Amino acid sequence: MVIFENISKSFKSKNDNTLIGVVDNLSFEVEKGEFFCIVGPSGCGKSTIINLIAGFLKPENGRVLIDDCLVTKPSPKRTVVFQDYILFPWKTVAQNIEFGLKFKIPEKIQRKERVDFFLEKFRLEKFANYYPFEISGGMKQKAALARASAVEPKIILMDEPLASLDQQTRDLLQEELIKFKNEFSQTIIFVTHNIEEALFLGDRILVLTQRPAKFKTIINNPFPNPRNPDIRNKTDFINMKHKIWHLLREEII
Amino acid sequence: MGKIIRQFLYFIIPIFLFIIVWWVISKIFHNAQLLPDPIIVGKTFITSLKNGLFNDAIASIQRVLFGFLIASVLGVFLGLLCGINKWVSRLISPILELLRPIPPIAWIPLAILWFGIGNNPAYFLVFLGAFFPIFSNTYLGVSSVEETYKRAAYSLGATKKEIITDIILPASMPQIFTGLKIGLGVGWMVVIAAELVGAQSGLGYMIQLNRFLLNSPEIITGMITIGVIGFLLNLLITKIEKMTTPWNQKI
Repeated sequence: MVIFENISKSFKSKNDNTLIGVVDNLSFEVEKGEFFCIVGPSGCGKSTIINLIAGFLKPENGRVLIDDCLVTKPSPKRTVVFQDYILFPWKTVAQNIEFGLKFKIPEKIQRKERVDFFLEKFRLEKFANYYPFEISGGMKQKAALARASAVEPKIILMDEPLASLDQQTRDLLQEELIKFKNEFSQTIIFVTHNIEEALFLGDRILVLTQRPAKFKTIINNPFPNPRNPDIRNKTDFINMKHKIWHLLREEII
Repeated sequence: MGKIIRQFLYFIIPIFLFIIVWWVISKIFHNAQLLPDPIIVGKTFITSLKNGLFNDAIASIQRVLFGFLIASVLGVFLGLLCGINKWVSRLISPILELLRPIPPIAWIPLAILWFGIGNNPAYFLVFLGAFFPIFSNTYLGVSSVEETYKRAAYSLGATKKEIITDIILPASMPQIFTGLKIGLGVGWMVVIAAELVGAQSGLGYMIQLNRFLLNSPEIITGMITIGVIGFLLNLLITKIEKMTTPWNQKI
């Protein structure tokens, strides 16, 4: 279980050293095995929340607890999938997936088996020896997801992972994510500005205010998992989408 | 196959034009001492090959490669160290920043005093010429590694050691190669300059010797050899760069 407790975080402005609040006294809890989506207006501090849970940043106030342990630094128990993939350009797809495993599985042969397993799982076998610049955005994000899941983390943190992709690729990858989630049952914390995406993927959806990000509301997804891709065109789904959009609209305007 | 032939032609035709222009100008001047025509130089080149040009070239290449090798090891090492540890950087950057503007040629008097005549002053001067571009570029490369790569690696379980070997070093490789290429180019210029005054073999020495003898065709032969070898050295290092960083699209 992830507990995000009374957290505030601000950054120094580059121009005049004033403090700009990014997250303001925010609290929420994520259950084990949950697909938890966070939506908020663009630039509201969503990425900062991921960075705090990952341990890349430290909060000024409050704390992040995972299974009763305080988060102080990054750990392979919670890996991150970034919007810009952040695959290592100097490693092939297979080597990228292997990177985190080096620290877990010292034996080369066993490690390779594991890499092959994940290459197959994400249908990347053909691209194993390609460098990231040689494959498409969708492939890159699959490779990044494979790399993040290969170390068997308890939690995968996803920071707008599909935002740089075109609509078709994004829809397909959303469906793959659902399949992936139902097979591996890790906890996923997924940040997005895309309401439809949040509603399609998330078991619960946390809605944030404009920056500095505060708690606005949490929505239990009324549509049961597994959600069928066609649900995106159902009236109920579209109405729900509108409801959330109106919540965000108040914030943006 | 056709592509290779086309590239070869693109390369050879301008050179051919250059030789024609040279030939025309030499005919206008009509003074074989000031500007011998390409045919005389061509003939001289062939006789020089039999008379020690090869040995002079080898002497120069050997000097530049040895000096360059030491500069590479030390430049990359110190550049990495400075990029990783800000205290090391604070300690040695000011010293290096003051030494850097001194052209290697200005070191020639001291180099001869310290090391005499021969290979040693040339090694030292090539080292000086090659070190600074290699050091600066490595330092720049290391300090501009994107933070998110390090974050990604830490979250996958990497320790400080793997951050250096698996992230910082490969990520700065393109910039390091930029430094190596500049360093080798500078080193090649410096070795010729060093041989003009402080050696008894090498292409610089050969040019200088023929200056006293007023042998213009030999001087130009030496110059052409210097140009060709410099070009080939650059080709070689670019080849090594492509093999080392096949993932770098910019080369």
